[in-house]
Amino acid sequence: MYANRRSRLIGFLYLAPALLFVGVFTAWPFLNMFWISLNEWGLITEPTFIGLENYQDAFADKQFWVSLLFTLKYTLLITPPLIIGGYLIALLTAENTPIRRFTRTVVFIPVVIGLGVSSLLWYWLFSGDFGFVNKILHDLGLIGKSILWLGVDADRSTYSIIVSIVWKVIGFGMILFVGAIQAIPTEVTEAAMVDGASYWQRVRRVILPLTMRTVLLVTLVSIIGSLLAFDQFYIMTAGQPNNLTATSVFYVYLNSFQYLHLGYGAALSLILAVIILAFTVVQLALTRRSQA
Amino acid sequence: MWASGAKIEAAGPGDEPLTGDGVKQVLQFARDMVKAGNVPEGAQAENGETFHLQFGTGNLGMMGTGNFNITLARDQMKGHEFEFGISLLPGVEDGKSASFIGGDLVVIPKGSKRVEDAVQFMKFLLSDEVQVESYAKLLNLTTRSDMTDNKYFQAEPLVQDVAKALEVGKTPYTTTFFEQINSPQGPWLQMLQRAYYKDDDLETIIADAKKAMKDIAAKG
Repeated sequence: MYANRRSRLIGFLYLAPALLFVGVFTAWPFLNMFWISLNEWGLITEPTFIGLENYQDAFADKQFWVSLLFTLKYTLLITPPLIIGGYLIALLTAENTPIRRFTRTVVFIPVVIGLGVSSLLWYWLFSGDFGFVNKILHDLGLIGKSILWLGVDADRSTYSIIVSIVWKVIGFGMILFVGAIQAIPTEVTEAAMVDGASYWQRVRRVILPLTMRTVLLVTLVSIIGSLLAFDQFYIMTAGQPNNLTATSVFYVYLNSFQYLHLGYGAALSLILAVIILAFTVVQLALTRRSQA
Repeated sequence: MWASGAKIEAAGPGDEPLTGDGVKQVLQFARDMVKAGNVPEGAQAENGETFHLQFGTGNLGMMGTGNFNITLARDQMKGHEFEFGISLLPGVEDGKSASFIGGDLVVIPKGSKRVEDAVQFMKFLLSDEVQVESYAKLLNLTTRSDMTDNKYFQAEPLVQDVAKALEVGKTPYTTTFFEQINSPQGPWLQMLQRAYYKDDDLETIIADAKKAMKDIAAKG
């Protein structure tokens, strides 16, 4: 009995640093945010308790739902190129030869650039009057008049931003996929070759199933990242035209720190967190099923 | 619009924004400029990052900006053939002008526990020495209009032109300034975009913006 209690205490002590970390940096801020969401608080004045009024306002706020739907659309559009593109590049570069290592490095470099910096870079590249993209298309004779890529047409703005983010992020998935593909024992793929499987048959029947956990992980990370998209839209379109490219986090930011409606911003954040949690639960269920 | 006698923002709940004929007159003037091709196309999607590049096209140009760009332009265009001057924002009638003054505010929040300390700090900021040796020395506009006649401004004639703004300049007075005016999602920008790039009736555009601004001011 004594030994059992002692071993439990030791176990708890081992866990304590992690529990403390999660408590201080996750649980406490989360609870605090919930408390803030129940108040009207302009930051420079004292908070006033208003119960669930902020949540009622959020459900009636048309712009919040427009932003949320846009964020979901953006997530839906950007996830396939990131996952499929990253996987295809990983298949092409998984083998360790100098040229493939070099290619992997080149594809991965944008990942280590800050998102704000890359967004500014692409803002300049897409500039209507001075951008490199228009210049090239002009010189190739593909366009006669400058195209306004950002902030004028919602779809064109979204696709332009997707191009910039795919360039920036695709290397992240690729490097994880490369790791997963390289971890497959060579005997397995060699056995498939001996059985006469073509390259694509090996990819479909052997490589893809054995790397499915990594595919799901990268998909989950990518979806969460896209649902939290902010920097690229803040810098490249600022939500224009007519707020049609304003993401949920951008809207939360505006309410919390520009309009100084901190309580309302906290309520919007919590609603967004619940939606992301739902995605995560579905994703984890899928992961478990693939493991079974 | 200020220079044409218009009022822009709703100061608080119940206050009427966008009043005066100047609002419609200026929107019509700007719309005509856009339609005539006198505004660069990229201006529609400009976030402030590249608008100064228009001067690099080699044409005569005009842009609304702050006095901080004087030193920037002088530094960056050193050795280039580049001339520039400064004018206050004109109204629709000859001889009328206005300017925006502000951006950085020093305020004492309601309920502050250290009002006296804050007042002392404000007095320090407004003292002769700080106005001249901190603000004017860096060619920033002095807060006090009686401090514009100083050695640093005298050495830079363009700043003297800017200093005239202190006499006609206005500062929007509302606690919801960002939401009403500065926000990319706010009614002011939406009104300008609609007026410049759509063919909607200007009266309708102004009425919509007015309602949105009043709603924001009412919420506080």
